[in-house]
Amino acid sequence: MRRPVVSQPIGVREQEAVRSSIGSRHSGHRSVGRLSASLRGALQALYVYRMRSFMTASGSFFGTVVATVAMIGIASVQALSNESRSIRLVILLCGCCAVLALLVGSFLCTRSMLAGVSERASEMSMRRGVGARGSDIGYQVMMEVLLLSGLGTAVGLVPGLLVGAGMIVLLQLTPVVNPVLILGVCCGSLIAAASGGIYPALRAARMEPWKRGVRASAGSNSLSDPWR
Amino acid sequence: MTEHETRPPSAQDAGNSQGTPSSWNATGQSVPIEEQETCGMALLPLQNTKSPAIVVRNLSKVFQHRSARIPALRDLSFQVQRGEFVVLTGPAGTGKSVLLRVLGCLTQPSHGDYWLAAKTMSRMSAAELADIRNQHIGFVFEEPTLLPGVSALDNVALPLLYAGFARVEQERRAQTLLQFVGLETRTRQRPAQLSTWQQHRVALARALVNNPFLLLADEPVGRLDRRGRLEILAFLQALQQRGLTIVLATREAELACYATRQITLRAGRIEHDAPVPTRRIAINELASAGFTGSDNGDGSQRETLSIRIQEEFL
Repeated sequence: MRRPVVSQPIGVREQEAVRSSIGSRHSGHRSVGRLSASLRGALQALYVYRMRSFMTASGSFFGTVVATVAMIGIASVQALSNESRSIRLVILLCGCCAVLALLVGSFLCTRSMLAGVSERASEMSMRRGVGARGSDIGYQVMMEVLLLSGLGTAVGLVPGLLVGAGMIVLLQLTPVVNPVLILGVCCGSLIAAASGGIYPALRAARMEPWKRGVRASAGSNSLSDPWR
Repeated sequence: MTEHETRPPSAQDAGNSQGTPSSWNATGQSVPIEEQETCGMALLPLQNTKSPAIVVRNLSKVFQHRSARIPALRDLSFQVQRGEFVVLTGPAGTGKSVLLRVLGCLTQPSHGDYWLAAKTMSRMSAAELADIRNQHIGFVFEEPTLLPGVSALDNVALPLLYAGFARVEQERRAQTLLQFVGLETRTRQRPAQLSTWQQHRVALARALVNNPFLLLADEPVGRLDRRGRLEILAFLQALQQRGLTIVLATREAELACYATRQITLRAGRIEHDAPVPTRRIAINELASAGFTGSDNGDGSQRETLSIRIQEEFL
């Protein structure tokens, strides 16, 4: 897709030949795409910054739990086939709860990723310095958000369904699970998280390469307080 | 502080057969070399090995901080030939690091032109500059700045990841480079498990893994002891002997005796630019200081860098 790369071995003798002919690189093929480079960066970061990743995923998790319960409530109340005003009010309230929960989840993702971006300024700046484009770093942050929110959503569905089931039993309603509504919760949660990740991704993409002041020794390997 | 970015006058660049960014198409993506040749674009200057590594003409860099204009570089003009080892010296705040950032394609000059291997850098977009950094420029700083929690091998392979190499090739090259700096037994260790001296060598391997045309170093030995400094300087001298162009910025004027040329900056201008009359050879000093083996002198052991170069790579 993109530029050719030098593909000879890096033997000492060969280096000079390559170096003396900048611009006349041997045509190779790009075996790894830009997106997979970003994905690899994202996976490395998810592992290294486990606590931060947990925080981001928990945003989607809580959003999904609340929204799933609300959706089960809506489906069950609708099944009563009673068109009274109070029923419609309950459906409206449940819908509002679901939307609000997803919005809060999205905000938590943004908050956590923004802190992560400033915490990892040294890493991003170094990646830019060794040749990552701004878009590579932006995609990396978006992939981190999507992977984590996907995980948070998948895990959040389980307690959401359990709590919903418990609520139905307590209220002695007819148990109805509308798969379309559950699918809507999953999509909504992912979309909310992705939209929450856009601003941190843009911030990360604008990182200055080899920025002064954030280049630090990596020896400490400290994971700073995610509640900062 | 925001940068005051103004483009150089278009008349200087437009139609300049030496300097037009011919290898980049309108969408900002580089064109494979075969395509360029069929397009008949100006590639000859790039393949001319006699062209200087660096040509800087009337280069200025001005930073804008609120209403204040802070000139960092004023009207610099110089050339660096291929295979030169240049030391930029001068007191703090004279623009050494800013000049290094411009030469390293980290930022664009406010005015003037900069050619790297006869290819103009002054009109390139940020993404194009990132590709140039990725493929042709290596950086070494005072701090190693490695990815925490990631093995030394993956740290060294990072530039290759963005260059699009397959995983196997990345590991093979990174392994070779780690062997080059004497860390072949430490490839799976993370930065936190390495000493500062070892982290510096991982950073050096990362700077060299993309097979650079130009190596830029900003205070690379600032935090090292005498032996570490001499070993890094010997390493740089060995690289220069093999044809690598090196530009090193430092406050310590005495480091200039290890280079072939010294440029002294003062208040953003070149005050002095001359070849170094009597050059010191770091590897000889290492030997005369008794730093020849892996013995530290006090019974402790350390891996050596320069000795390895001398024996295996020169």
